[in-house]
Amino acid sequence: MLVLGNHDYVSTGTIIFQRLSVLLMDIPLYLSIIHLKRYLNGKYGQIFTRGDMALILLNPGLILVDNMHFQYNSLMFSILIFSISFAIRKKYLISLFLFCVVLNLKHIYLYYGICFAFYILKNYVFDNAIHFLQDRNKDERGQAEEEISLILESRVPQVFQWNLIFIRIFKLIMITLSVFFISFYPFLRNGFQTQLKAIFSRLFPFGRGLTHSYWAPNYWAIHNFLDKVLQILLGRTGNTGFKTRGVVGDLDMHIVLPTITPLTTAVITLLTLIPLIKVLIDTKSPNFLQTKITFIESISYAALSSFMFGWHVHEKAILMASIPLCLLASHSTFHAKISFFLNIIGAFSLFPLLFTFTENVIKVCMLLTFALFSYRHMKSLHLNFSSYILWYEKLYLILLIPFYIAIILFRNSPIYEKLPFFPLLFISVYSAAGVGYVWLSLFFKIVSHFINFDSSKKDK
Amino acid sequence: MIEKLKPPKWYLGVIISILVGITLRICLGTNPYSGESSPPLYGDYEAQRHWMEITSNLPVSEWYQNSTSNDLLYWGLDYPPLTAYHSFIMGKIFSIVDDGDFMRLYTSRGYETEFTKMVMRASVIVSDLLLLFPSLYLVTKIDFTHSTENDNFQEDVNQKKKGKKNEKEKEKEKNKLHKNKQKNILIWNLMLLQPSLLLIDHVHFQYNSIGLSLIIFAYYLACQDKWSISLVCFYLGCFYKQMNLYYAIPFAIYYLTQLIKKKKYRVLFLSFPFISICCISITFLPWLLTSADSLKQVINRIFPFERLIYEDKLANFWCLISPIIDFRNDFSIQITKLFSLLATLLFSAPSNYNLARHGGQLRFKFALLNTSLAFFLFSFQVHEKSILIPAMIATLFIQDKELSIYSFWFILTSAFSLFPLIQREHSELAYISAVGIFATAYWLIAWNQIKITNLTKKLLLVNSLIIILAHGLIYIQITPNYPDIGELIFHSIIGLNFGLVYIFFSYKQFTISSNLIKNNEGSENTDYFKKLK
Repeated sequence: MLVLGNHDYVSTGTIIFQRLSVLLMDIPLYLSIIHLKRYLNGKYGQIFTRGDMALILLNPGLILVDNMHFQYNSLMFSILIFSISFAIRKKYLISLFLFCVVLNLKHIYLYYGICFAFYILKNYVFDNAIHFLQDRNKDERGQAEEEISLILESRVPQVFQWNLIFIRIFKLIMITLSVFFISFYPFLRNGFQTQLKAIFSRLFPFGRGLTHSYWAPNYWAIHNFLDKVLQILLGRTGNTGFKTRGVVGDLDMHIVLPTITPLTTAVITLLTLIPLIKVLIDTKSPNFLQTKITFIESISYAALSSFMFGWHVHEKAILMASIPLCLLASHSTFHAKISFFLNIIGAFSLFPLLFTFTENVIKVCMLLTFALFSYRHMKSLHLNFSSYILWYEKLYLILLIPFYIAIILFRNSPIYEKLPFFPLLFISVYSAAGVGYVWLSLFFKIVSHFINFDSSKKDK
Repeated sequence: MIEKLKPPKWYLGVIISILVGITLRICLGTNPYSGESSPPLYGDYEAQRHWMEITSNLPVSEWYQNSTSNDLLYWGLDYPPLTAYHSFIMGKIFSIVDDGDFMRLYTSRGYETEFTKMVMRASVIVSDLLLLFPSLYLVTKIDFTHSTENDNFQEDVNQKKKGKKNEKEKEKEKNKLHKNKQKNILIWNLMLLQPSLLLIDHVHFQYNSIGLSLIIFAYYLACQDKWSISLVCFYLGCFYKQMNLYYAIPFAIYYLTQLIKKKKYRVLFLSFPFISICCISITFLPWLLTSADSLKQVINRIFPFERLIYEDKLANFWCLISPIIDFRNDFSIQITKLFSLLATLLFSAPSNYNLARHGGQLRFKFALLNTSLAFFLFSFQVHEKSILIPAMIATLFIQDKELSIYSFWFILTSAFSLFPLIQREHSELAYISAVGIFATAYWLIAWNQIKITNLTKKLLLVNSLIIILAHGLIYIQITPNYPDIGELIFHSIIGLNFGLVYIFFSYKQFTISSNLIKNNEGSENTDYFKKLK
């Protein structure tokens, strides 16, 4: 199994070993969720029920990518969730250490970087000294001391003790550097420049084009689609043939709409992440439940924004946004609704990854079961959940079924020869509409933390 | 006014349970079936496919006869006619697959593609949906008080005496009813996850669920006083697979005693003989019409009398005692048949006598379990897969408050006993999944809420651990002189467990509290699982 050059090696032992090892990775995930559950308690009861655990452990997107398409995401998500729970427990150094570990496991976790950075800066580095004093004497689960924190934080002025701040910054830098050192040293000692260049060109392949060969359901999928549609409507031709062939290629040229470069995507992503900075800086200490919720919400928003506007995003990245959001499903109806949406749309957009006959049957059954299960679970947690989902949102989800049947029929019809990319295009654009809608609602929610939308009575 | 959270509708839970069952079965079906990619004979999957081929292409008179087109040595039909009719229907439906190549006579032997595998797996799932799911659902609706202490029986009697109830109590009762429905759906799910049935039907590939669910229908209908339909279902079950005759003695005794006790002589002496004649004649009609010889041939195929007392290693008494007294090799077939007949009757007698003497639905269930277990341990030509028969009755015991943990023990052990079979076709992943899911589900739903002592829990864990460690014995060869001794030790441990189960459940049957017998025979409401979480 481990012999070099043994491409396409298959044996029963290999299959059993790999499948079992992925299954075993669910154990750390379960442990991390239990750990988070203990510390996410508010004053007025638990916000994390057993059914929520099923939302993550049995998440169809996670199962499709992890157990079928085959990756080891559960282990990394478990380390991430441990990192989040340590951050909530005010043990910031351990949290940063775990975050660096997971970042060195998969660099996509950089999506969360800005959140962890500002959260730790605000609550650890530039933390008011008074919190350190009160934290040492309090129960770290944050139960029952919200009123005292409120009083203290409103009365005591923000005083920065610069020597403490420098010490804390130094500690953070040392932890980060040590983790990266352990991770990179074996490669860098064989030639700093060449190895670093090789690593970065493998890690961040900018030559692969704006969209992956199966378009991820982000804004650029809509952008490509609109470009093609306008191109046909306005009758302009150009060198765009390869874009609709669904092949990974070099810089895509858009004809009608402006061409997108990696720099453009970076700028747009950073623009959308700016509200996060304000939100994280404005939070109170993690003694308050709202802070914990805002933190998890913000990491989910950061992942979703980077997914929507990033360069060459793979569809698997939708998991980065949907898994942390599942942790909030019992907190409020709003979070339940968007988590419900994102789980289903994310799993649907992952369908093109698995195309053999058996996998087709399994993935459809799994998504259907999960959709009904999560609907029932959230209905049992939240009042009026079914009426909270608006009619067009329900229509969007229900239309998935006839559209998917239409795609299957399309694949078996003669037109398929001429337009082989059409099913993938349709799935991507339809999911992108849903994901964009979720992103927009999450954006307004984040922004509403510091701007009051007086006109809207409903929690948006 | 505080708005109360309305619980979701009950049918949503039913739909989700069905979908979960379907998804799980499809996922298990991706594993290799019996005899996958192993010419020349393949395995049980090929046998089923071959029967479909034979029955859909040849006329009825040739199904059980040896001929050039029907070579009985290559998976000849050896189940009763209902299996043949079922294969006929399936064969006709599948003859449109691949332009008929799938079912073409003789040339379709060993036909294996991804699509046809999924099609065959789907046929088992459909038969499960149509028969197993409803039958187990009906069973969960019977609420029995099975513990020796009468929990809520007195309370319910008082409740019924009260008469008029006010608004609040009506609301309370409605909530209680709803909670009971939820609990029933959970228990239904747990029953559907029974690992041995999943492993044999959906991985190893057979159609046991049809016969077994017909028996469960018969049991349910007997408990609901619908005797004629119950008898019909029982006959259908036995005419599907002759293994279901393991249940025959308790059914016969229960029918006789209950009908005599309830003075339903018309049913007993008119309907029953009429139904028997109808069922037998309709099922065997094609062969009755041809000749006595063809009927004889069918009977010979169903009950082959010239086979040995056991084939492969299994947790059967005769196999496990073979290091000491080797019945297979040292005695003639007639003597072994006599021994096994006497032993089987001897060990099923106490339970059936108890049933005949006292009667009652609860005793009926016990007698079914004990008799089928005795048959498994002592009967002639038992196969590993026959453990499904006692295991099916044990799943009916899962909803019982006191005996739930012991039925869990038995079902788990029966699943463990199937490991050598599953290991031979390289489906260990399916095995781990099925057993793991059942154990986890049981732990989540029932473990903390059932009144069992810590000692029982520890014993169960230690026992399971020993068996799990013993799995390794299948793989290693201890001494070259006796290459199969590892498997024999494994089966001995399991056989010991089965013996203990038999003794325990017999004991429980004899010590059923007399209170229950005097009163109702068991349709009281109970309040298991006080916390629903």
